Amino acid sequence: MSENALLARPDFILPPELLREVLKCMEPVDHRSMTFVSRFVREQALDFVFNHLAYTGLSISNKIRGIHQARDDVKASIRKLKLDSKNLAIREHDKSSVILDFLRTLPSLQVLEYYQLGQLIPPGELSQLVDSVRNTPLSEFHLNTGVYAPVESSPTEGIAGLKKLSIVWTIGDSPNEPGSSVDHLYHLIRPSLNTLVELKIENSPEEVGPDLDLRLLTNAGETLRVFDYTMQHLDETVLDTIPEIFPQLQKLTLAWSNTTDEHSLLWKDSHITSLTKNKNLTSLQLSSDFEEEPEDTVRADEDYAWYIRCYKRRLTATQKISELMPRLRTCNWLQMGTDHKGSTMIHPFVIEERAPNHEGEEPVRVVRGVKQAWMGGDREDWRTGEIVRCKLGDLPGDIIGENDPQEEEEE
Amino acid sequence: MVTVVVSDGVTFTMEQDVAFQCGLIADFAGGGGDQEEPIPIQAVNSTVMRKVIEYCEHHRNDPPQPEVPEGTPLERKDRRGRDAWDKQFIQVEQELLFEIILAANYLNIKPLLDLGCSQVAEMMKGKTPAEIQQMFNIVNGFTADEEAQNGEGEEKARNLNS
Repeated sequence: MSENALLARPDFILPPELLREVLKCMEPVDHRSMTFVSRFVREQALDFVFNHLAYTGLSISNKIRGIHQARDDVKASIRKLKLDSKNLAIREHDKSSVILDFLRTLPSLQVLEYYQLGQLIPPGELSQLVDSVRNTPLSEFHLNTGVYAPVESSPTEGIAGLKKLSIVWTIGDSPNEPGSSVDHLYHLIRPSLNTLVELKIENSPEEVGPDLDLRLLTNAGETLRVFDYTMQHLDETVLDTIPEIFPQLQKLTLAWSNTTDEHSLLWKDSHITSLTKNKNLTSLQLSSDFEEEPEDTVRADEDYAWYIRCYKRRLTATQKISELMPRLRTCNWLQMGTDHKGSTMIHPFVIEERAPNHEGEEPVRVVRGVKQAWMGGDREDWRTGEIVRCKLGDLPGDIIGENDPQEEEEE
Repeated sequence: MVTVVVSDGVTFTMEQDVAFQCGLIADFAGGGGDQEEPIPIQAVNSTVMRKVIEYCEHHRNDPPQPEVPEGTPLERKDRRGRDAWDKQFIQVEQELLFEIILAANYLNIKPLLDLGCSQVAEMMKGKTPAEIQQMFNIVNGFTADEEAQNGEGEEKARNLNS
């Protein structure tokens, strides 16, 4: 290095890639100071200050108006943006317009999370939202339409070239137009079908309507690796359709969110035949119902004997699946409507490969449960007062985790 | 043994486990046995190379560092691995510190690069832009308009970012 290296200079002594290494070691407050040090330092430091912005809270329009006044280089450094407001009063048109104007000025935006739980932009203006980011290099778009409302006007064509798309769709059919809601939903997805790697669709309008015809998504078959789908009807044919249209799938999450009686699709062993068509699957989550067997006359909170019966059914099903799906590593069961409040519970299982007992044999695949909140100690039945043995050693299978601390002491 | 010759003509001979902490030397030597010809290290002088070797000798028995996950380039680096010896080692004059960083980058010694960068960050911690400019002899180069803008909408936006 030159002896004159420390003479006054318009840039930093280190080249940009090493200055960025220094910036990685700094606190956010110091990143801010660095943006005012010099033009050269600013170019690198802006990324660390504005790369990922999240505007959440009761009122975000003033915050957006503030950053909308910032210089172009600030806006160019914004790559990930989350907008999430719960303020119903933000609906006025001028405030929606600020958001749209701001989005139009972000040339580097790659990820947009847009949760209009407070109706930031009314459903009828969805097309304006999409148009405002159409010319950005967006690769990830998360949309939660938030409010229950019917579709308006004609469908909005979504954004092309997305790799990751997540839509929580609460928009219902237009009056006298059955199916118009899923038609709008499909148009939002369609332009990215050839590029999508991950797709999440949670179709949950206020009133039950038709589900999306998944065969319309066939063009995503070569690229899609992760599919997370919540549907409204108890349609088991989807288990055959998915491996047919998405043959490369590695992670599948499927929920039958039946709002009519809150029960999901009843599990049948015949479902395994369909699941094994997913040749590349490493992770599976289903909301299959294991709770409704003839002997299950009680369905209530904290019925531990019932918990154990259902857990055993899930363990058995997972063991059967693991034997026929050699790549599967995790298998979760989502239990919907576990109590009178409609809560959900996840029952996780992992599938481990262990060395064979004898040389030349295949590795042994072992299904293990993962400790859940109700496991790890003896519990009292809320109706009879009887003690139900829920220590890990008393439960079926091999469970990852430890008994509750007080139980360990007693032992 | 591995021998290197640096920019001012000085040669250094070191054991392989010391030398191979430098990714550049390990690549050059191809992981094989003793080198007959000294490896030329043109971008580093003997003062800096002595410091580099001192660092590599101290850390010769360290386990390999875990890979940094991809996709998190802007995550703040974990500085817990900086022990008391490291702290003492990196307390050097500013010019030498920058030369160590450049050498660590050139020689591909990631832990030393992280140590040096972390020390520069530490020097700037809590400083105002003017103090940083003075510390490193930097002329900011902003126009008057840019200076004004720096103080207005942008600062407001920063404060509002939640």
